Amino acid sequence: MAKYILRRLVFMLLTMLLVSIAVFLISEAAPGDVARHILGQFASPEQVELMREQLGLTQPLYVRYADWLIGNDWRLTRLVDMPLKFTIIAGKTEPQWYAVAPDGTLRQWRLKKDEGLIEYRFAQDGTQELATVTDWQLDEEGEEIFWGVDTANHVVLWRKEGARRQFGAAAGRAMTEGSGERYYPIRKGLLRGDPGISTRTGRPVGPTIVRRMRNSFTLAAIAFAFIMPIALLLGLLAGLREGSPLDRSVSLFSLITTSVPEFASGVFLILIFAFWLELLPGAAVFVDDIAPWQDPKLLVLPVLTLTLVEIGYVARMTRASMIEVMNAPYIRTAFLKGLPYRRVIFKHAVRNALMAPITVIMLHVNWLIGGIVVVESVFGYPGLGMYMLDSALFKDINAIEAGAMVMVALAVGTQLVADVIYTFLNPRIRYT
Amino acid sequence: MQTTGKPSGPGRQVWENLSIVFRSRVATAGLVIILFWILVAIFAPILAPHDPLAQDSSAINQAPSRQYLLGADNLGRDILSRLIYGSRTILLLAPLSVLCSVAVGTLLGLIGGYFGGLIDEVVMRILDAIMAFPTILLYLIIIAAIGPSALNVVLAITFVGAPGVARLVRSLTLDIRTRDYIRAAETRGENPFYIMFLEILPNARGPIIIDSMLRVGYAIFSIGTLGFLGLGLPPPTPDWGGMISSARKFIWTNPLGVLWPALAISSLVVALNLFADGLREESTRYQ
Repeated sequence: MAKYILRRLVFMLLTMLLVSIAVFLISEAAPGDVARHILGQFASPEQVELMREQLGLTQPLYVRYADWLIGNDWRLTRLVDMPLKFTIIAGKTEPQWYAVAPDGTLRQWRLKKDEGLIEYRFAQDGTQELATVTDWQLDEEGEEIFWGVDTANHVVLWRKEGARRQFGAAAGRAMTEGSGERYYPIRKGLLRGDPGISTRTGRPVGPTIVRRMRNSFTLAAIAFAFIMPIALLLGLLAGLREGSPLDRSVSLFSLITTSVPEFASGVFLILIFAFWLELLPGAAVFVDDIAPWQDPKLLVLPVLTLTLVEIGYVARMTRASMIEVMNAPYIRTAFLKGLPYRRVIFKHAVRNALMAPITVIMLHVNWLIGGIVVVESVFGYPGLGMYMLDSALFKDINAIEAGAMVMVALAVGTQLVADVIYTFLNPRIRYT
Repeated sequence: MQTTGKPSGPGRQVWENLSIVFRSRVATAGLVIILFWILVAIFAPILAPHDPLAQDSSAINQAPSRQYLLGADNLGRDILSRLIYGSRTILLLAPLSVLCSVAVGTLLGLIGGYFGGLIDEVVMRILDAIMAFPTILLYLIIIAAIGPSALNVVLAITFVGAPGVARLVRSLTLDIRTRDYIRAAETRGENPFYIMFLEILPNARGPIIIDSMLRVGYAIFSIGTLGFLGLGLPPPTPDWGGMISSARKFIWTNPLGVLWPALAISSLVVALNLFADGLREESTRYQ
């Protein structure tokens, strides 16, 4: 069993690796340019070129993939000739990359228009010193150059004479005054816990995706808390009396609710509850960064939509499983040996009938993820699905990759969990 | 020549299937709605009162009136005409994408099932990997990478649907491969592709056809979803999913603008599922 689980875990990691490569290749082959996307229609070709370089897009594909996966700070350290450190210092809101000087101070450099290259020295206690760079080094052609870390997490090559004097955007945010000769964005790599910076928002992907995941999980968990008891009950009752009016209406109801696409049922619910009855808000737009459960009213319609779409599926599964069990020989035996009806149903039928739906539902998580993306999009709910959709439309590769990894891990992981649960529920099955 | 009233040959088979449908009220209702939309799609130019692309700036987000029976959308276009032409888009794309996924899936399934061994292993592992991850993610990545267009929608649905078809065809092939007539063909020295396409495929067609019919409903569902997410057809084309997504922004001023296309796509998908479900249920009952 342990061996089986281990093998499946390896398979899962392999799948994730393949998916990440595929996503990289597909987005590479795709038309359109992220740098152009960020800067807009009116940027000059030089600006776009600079932006591409600052994003690291000018490097070969395999280098970029390796950087994304395992990081490049260990490689770039050699250029700067000082260890690089990703840390947050007193008085700053976000962690950044710094070069660690031999004397223990953290350093960054910035090219200012009239003052030349300025060195920022941050001591451990948060005090800051400025100095003009004097220790330029000579390259092969005898020109003075300097490798350093800029204030937007790049390793930069500056040239004393003939620095490119133009405006560029750093990581999609600030406009810098002058620019260096070459840029390498510093990355820690996904395997070391850093999915990179979103080119769409200019913010680190990691924290955003965690927050979005929390929102999506809240939505899914609440919906599931409604779906499971209701659907299992309906399915069992319907399956118990195959062909009865209750069975017919449950089957028809579940067929219709599962067939209606999520966006359509969402729209119907908005129209009924928010527009005509004016009972609930029709969108789930969150002010500030509050957690979704802090304003339950906003959650009602998204949860209801998801419940409507999923409930029929679970009910149908349960019904089919119940019918199968009720026709099984051991149920007939139980009746024939004179067990009370109630006892046959609860002790023999229900327990066996619940086995199939519970595992099938785990396999259904793929479908559920799709449903959540659409529901989030209908209600403007800030979950992982919306994040993925927005990122995909923007070609925000770091965000897409991170989201894809989460989704694949979820989908493949739940299948593994489903298989394992199934062996416990059904001891006849053994995986080796 | 038979002289009985009932048609013979393939016609008779169709008739038998249809009579199964008519025995179930639910399936009949489904069939009627499907036929309704097919007729609407065929006669769209006659039925539509306006040009679906014509904009009337005086009628922006207008409620239903005698001129615009179902109202007008945010660009002042007639919603009824757009609905009517939208049925063409979806009823053309859905079967087309199903056809493509069935073609690709059948080819892969036949090859994997017939040749077996390493080829089978490689093909099936790749398809397993595709099936393992969320459909919506595939759609997002494919469409985001190659941009929204009719062709890309078909490509995306083919890509997502083909693995399922391949699995089905493979299991059918594995079964049929052991039959005597296949061994006979192999002894005759037939080309493997002759055996796959002219011996195995015709004998596997029943389940494949039923599976494809079920897939049409799913394809319509997917096309609608893609349209809604902004990954469907580029804007001016009347497309139900896209209509809902653009009308969603004006739901407070023009609630009907979003209601009609939502009703249209729901009715079509529900009808297809009712039809398929009724067909399945009735055909198993009378076996």
